[in-house]
Amino acid sequence: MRRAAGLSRGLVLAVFALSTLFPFYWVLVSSFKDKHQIYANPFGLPANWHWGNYADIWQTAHLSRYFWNSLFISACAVAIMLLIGAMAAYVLARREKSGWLYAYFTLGIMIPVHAILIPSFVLLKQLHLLNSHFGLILIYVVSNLSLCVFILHGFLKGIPRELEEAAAIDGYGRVRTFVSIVLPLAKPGLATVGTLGFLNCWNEYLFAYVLIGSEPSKTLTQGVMALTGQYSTDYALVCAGLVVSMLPLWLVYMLFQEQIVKGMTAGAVKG
Amino acid sequence: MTWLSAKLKKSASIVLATTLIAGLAAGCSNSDNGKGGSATPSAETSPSASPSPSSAGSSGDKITIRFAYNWTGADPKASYFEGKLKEYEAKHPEISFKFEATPGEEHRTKIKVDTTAGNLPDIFTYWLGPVNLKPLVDANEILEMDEYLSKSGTVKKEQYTDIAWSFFDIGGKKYGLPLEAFKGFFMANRELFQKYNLEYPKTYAELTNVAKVFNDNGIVPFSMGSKNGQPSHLFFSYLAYQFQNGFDDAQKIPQTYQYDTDAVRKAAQAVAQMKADGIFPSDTVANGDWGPQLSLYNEEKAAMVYEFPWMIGNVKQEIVDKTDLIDFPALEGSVVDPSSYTIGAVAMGLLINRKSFEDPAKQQALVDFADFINSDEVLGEVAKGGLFPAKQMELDPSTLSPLYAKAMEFTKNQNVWPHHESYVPDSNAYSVILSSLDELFAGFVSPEDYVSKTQKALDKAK
Amino acid sequence: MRRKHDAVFYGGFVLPAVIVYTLFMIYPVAMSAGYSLTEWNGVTAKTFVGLGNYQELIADGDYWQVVRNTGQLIAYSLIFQVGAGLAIAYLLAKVMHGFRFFRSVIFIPVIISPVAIGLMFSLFYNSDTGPLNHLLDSLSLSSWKRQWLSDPHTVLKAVMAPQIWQYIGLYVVIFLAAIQQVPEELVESARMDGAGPSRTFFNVVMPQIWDVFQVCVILAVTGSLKSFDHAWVITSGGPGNASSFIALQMFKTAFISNQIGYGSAMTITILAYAALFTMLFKRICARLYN
Repeated sequence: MRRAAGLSRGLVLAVFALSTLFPFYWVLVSSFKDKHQIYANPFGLPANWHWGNYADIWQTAHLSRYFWNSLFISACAVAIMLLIGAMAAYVLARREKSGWLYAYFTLGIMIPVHAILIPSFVLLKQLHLLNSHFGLILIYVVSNLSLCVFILHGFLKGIPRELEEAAAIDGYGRVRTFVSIVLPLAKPGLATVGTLGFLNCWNEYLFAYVLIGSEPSKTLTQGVMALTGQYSTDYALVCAGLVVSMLPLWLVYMLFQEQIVKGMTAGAVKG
Repeated sequence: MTWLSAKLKKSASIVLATTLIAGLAAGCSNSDNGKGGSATPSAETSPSASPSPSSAGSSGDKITIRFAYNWTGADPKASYFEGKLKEYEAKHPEISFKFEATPGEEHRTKIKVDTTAGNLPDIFTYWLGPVNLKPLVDANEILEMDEYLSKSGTVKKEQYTDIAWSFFDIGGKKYGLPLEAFKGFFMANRELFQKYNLEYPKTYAELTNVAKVFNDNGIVPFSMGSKNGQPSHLFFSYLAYQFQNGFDDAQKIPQTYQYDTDAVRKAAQAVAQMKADGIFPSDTVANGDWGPQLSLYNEEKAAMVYEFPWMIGNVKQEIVDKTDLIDFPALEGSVVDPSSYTIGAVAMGLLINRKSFEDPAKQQALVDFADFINSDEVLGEVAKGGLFPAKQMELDPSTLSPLYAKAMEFTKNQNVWPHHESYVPDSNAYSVILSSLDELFAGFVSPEDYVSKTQKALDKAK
Repeated sequence: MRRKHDAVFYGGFVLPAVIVYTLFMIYPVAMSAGYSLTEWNGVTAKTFVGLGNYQELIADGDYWQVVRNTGQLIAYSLIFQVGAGLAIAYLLAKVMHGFRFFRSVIFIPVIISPVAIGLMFSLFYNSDTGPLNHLLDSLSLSSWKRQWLSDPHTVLKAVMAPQIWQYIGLYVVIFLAAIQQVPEELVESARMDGAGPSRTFFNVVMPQIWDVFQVCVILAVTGSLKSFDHAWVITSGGPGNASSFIALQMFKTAFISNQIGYGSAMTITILAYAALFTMLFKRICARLYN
């Protein structure tokens, strides 16, 4: 009985796992094909392993430059978001009457980001931050700040006050307590929010192409989308670009998997 | 021990935070310079190029010109055009160029957002017709071309036909320099036809016969899809113009706002009929838009296709060799000879920001740059990527793709009739037309519904 | 003294986030709300029309069609992302071998850009050349073949499928961690009391993960309300509005039809629906718990 249940369970999971792997496999395999093989032989392995696509996108399509831009922008946005988000979440978690402030911050979760495209643009222009990475970083920070505060708030609430009180007795100032006691304990929450935030920044397209016009500053998504183009038919090249843009994310996930998982639930539980 | 490591961790996090912030401040302001070669200063050190008296003035300052265009990325014209841009930039160290290249339709969105914030580039490529130009003209943002022509060194009004200028005409004045013209042409895969012993169809009856044979053998007779009206809206105009007064009615639309005419109704019915007869691919949405539509033909899964110059660079070489240009068959009830005309217009033109032109420090540089873009040298170079220049000029056939030469030759003597987009004055109405075409081609709406929907949108705009 | 220090500390700590958030999120939303009261093509001057846009929205058949589409999306997300995510997590929690592997693998789609997923699926769905119909043929399921994107009965579901599928893994991982935190003793004692698997689940596990469940529901609903990327890449919302959602419609209205005021009004309705749902849901949950 148990074994049959275990087997059927395993089967269901295996089918599901396969379905999640398949598209990734397809993109990976297609990236090594010649552009016409994608139609001729959609599922199978490439007849010749065509490394040329990767060389093409890395050099000719300047993806290397865009890659570093995206990395820089996403990393900065996540760092800032984590810092000010954690600070705000800490206040919300510790202060008694913070209901309104909490509701204020979490409003952002409901706002579709396209809605603020034009007003943000007008605002950034007035601040002379158009076509700069910093402007884009600010947008990315606020796009993810609400979710960050939402999740970290729950997490920080779960950290026992006794630890902080002990630190106070030891003569730690509040800032020092926050930095050396609270933050390290919040690592899983930070990892979760950081990863999700990084994901969103890395994959974002609309604000990137509207705000960043000059060639050397462009992001990876802009690079990959330029390859797709409305008129283009070279899907193998596009797939190579997609793989390049996916790999760092998967790396981040693999590295921080444990933390992320721990953080996801603890943050959500008390949320 | 733990206290020490705690202290280390704390210092480490402070150091990290500080580095990040410092890196942020430093890195961001250098972000435009640091990576890559182009000499574009960052946004902080020289504000964006919309007019500010301080940017003119002192002679030691570099002039900044912001040029936005969309021949970039996977566009076949990109490498030729961008190569020429780099040459010009290198030759003019006194000008600081900011090139803003955004692929395809996104360029349109970007310019629109730029306009809302008063951030229009100094000079940019843009689409035709009152739909696209009227708002800019009403807000007095773009330059009247006669002013440019009077200052231009090499570009003259006579180099473009009156029809070409008409696409940028708002209220009797010209607001754009015609850049990229186009003419549609039908391609057929000679080998596929020969394989099944078929002749190129001249009448609708012949078309259905040919279609039946192809369908029986798993080949799509005619690759035409519709996704957001691309590329179907051009084909639809072609069909409408086969019927009585089709083209005349279209030309009158700016005054009459009347899209619902006999010709348009017949065209809509023809589409439904062709769909029922299996002429199109069964999935017009998935095969809609330029790339997928051509792919069907490229992979020899479709026997015929309707193409335009900007796709020439994407046609496979072996397919080019197998391709013949043909006339689309005459539909039942049509009165115009299909071989006598083709859909054509000017797709894109060059627009100049009025305020930038009126800035005395920038004017000459802008004029020279605009002259350069419109020079035979540049246009001839970009033609290698499939550009049909709007300018009347000679092209060296040896430099051009054989398909390009074939297409030019084939359409040489045909009347060039612009499609409906050139005439419909309201952007909302035209976007309803585009999305309703998707529905018509997919069989979601009947021809009657198509016509009533689109006319309603036009009525609303009156 | 402590209180004053506290206030200064709290104030200072929360200030950076408040400043950035207010300036770059709330202020733009307020501007958007302002636009929604005008008629504006983005270039020429704005014309104040008060609630005119909203009145027009109420009468706009296209708008209600996309609202219905979005409603369907929300329903399917709740069933297949939250519901199925929970079910799969429950199964996965009991697996001995290959646990880590499964957990990594199901999360992969989450990290892929929605645009990439959209592109992939539009190639899959092509009924003439795409692999999906080929697959159905090879599995002798030819009668299931459709013109996925050109068939009025399937296009909406075809567009919803990738976005729902993509994020199931996220919910699985969240629920998994929550389930694993349920104390073993509770489960054991339930089993010893003779409770079957579903009794155990509903009476023991669910109450423990109830908070997480609520959060996931809110995330799923607000995420669906904002849906844009997938539909845009696969069908541009078409044919017509058959596969369009409110956020996509807003984009088309503002940027393609040049009706920024009208588009902004749509945005505000999205906000309104999200806020309304969150309030109602929280109230219902509080009631249920008692």
